[in-house]
Amino acid sequence: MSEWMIDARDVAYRYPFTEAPALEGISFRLRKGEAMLVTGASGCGKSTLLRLLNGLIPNHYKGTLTGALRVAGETCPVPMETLAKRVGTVLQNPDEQFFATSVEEEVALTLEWQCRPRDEIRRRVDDALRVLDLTDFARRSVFTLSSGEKQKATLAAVLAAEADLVVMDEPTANLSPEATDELARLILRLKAHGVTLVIVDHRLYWLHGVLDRLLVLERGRAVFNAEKMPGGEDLLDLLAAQPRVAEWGLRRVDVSRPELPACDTFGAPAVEIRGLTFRHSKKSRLIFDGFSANVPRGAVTAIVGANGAGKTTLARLLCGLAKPQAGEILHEGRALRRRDIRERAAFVMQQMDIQLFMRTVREELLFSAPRAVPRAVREAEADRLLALFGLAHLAERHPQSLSGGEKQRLVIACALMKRPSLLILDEPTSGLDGRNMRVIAAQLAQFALDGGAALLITHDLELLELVAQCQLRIEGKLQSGGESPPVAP
Amino acid sequence: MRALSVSSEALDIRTRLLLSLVVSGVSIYLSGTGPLLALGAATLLYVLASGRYKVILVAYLAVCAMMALTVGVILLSFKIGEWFAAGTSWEQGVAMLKPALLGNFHTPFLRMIPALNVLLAIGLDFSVQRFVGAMKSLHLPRVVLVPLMVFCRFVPEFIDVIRQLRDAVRMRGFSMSLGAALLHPIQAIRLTFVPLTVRTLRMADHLSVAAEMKRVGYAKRPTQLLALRFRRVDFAVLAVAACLLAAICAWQAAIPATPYGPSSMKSDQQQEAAHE
Repeated sequence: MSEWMIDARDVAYRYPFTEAPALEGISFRLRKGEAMLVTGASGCGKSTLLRLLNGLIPNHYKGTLTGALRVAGETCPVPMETLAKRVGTVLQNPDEQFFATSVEEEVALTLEWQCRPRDEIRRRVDDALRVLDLTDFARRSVFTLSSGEKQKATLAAVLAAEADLVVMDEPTANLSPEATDELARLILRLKAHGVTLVIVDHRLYWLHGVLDRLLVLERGRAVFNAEKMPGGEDLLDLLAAQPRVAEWGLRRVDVSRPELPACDTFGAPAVEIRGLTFRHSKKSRLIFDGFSANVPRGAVTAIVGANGAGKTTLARLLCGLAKPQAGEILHEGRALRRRDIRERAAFVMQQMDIQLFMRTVREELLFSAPRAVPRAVREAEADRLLALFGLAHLAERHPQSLSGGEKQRLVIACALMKRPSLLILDEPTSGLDGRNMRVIAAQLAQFALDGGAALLITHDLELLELVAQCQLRIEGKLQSGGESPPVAP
Repeated sequence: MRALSVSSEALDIRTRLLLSLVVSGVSIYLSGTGPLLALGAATLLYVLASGRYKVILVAYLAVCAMMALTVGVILLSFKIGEWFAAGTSWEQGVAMLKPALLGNFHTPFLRMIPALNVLLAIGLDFSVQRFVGAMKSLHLPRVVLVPLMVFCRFVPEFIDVIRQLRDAVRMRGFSMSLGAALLHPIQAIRLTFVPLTVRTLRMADHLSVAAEMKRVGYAKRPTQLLALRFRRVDFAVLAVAACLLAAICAWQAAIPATPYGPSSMKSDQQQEAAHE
């Protein structure tokens, strides 16, 4: 067998019914035990390359492939069942990948369908769970795991199947900074075990010292394609030094954790939380127990806390989507009915598809405006927001036909169209490239400058660095903001 | 009571599925009040072992409400007939219904009780994981097994999507309640149908991709890591159930036929002769 795990020479690919190729002139080689990052602005062809490597193209997604591509010793195109034995895939959202309901069964699933002997499956599952410190989670339901644990369970399944090549699509999009650091360490361990990795990601900072090759795509073509030389410069530093890097719409290669003051001391409160007590049902655990805090007006506040601490639950309470068992939430000093709160607040949820209802992008924006606003004013405001968010050329498109990044911008524009006094965003930039992330950051900053109170739930350190001004920390059973510990979102 | 539970993890899901199948079949065969009450009582003990008394009470109240509703609708139809002078009068209707209420009117409802009990015993402690495991161990063909796995995987996620959609709709100032749907049906369709359809199609695509990548469906008989095994308690419960069911069926066979059930099906002529 060749020493190359991947050998791509002048690879081009075109989806059916499209004129422009999704990929063109892609050439690179990757050895066993090496790691490569593929990055670039949204729509540059990253995911297409990943689908070529794991065999989904042309087995699941049809199209025209030209050039020479060898993956794990097989010349593509190869039947899916052949490639699936050698290539493991980790998707952006592990929930979309789970097929079984318990961790152990999920890890064993591929082996079961390969009809491996039961003893062998047991040994390989146990080994994979041990390597990823998941032994204690074996019988847990996959639905009860945190994002980081889910990502590890997916990786364990890939390891148990003894994949030679692992391709990862935006693996950090839903991970906390701590879980992201752990993933980087894990990748180094996998490399040491001879596993080859191809990582497709917008976030770059976490891959310092991990990469052997870096490929930047722009409109389907490689604009930066570098291999790490022994003792050579780190590839991300090399990328940052490129003169055209700003044009490629990438995220920054160096990001630090911002230290933010507590929100209680930051300014006049827009929302006051007094003695909040909440649990989902009588039998569930208490999430908030007499929690008090202030959300300042005219600032972007980061809600900070570990996975499962109750960040999204707090957002639902503040928006009037859930009712606390005790305590009160005052908006502009007044206790409002939940319906009135929902009129004043806007909440951008993680799941974009379920927040888009209308036939065109423009109608979606008009539908979001308060009914009392005159039609002419609404239309002018919609035009302004379409231009601000770079959606003007998509005004007559169906919202559900937009790309992920475009949908994210549209949903935030719809939230602003509502003219809220309180704007809450739950992971608004996961899976977004640098250019789009900066557009959203700028609009958030402007909202705060105009006197609005913005609450941000995010693991995106770069976004926090750009716009967050103070923090609201929650830790399971909560206490008020108080002293300011360093941010560890 | 929970410690003594026979419907919890102590019993194999296949035992519970078999019990529900057989008990439902037997309850169709039975027509006598005595045998049906006996079967109802035996299966009630079985479901009470789950310790979920409140849910069981609610289910029984629902059956009572259903029975009351049935009687109410019949009486109402007589009343309407009387108003329009086009059918049986109220007094005649009540007079006709009275023997049925005192006689065998309750039989269909009594038949529901054992089926309700055995289904509750499954539903109150349902685990998708154990259910799929049981289906795998039955070596079902993959054309049945794979859709079943997809279905079991799909349902919890779909419920979560509905919950999120309800929040999204409420944040736009609308409601997903039945009243709102009746008042504004087109708007209700737009607010629910479009996002749910798109999300469901996307979920289906993701699941099919995941299945391809994990080779699900590529083998005729996949290995099963966690093999389910019948234990002593399963054999004991099945033996007791078999004895009880045999005794109840024997009791039914020994009593005179009633107007309901297969054992009592008589021709019209026979029934008329009996009346005469």
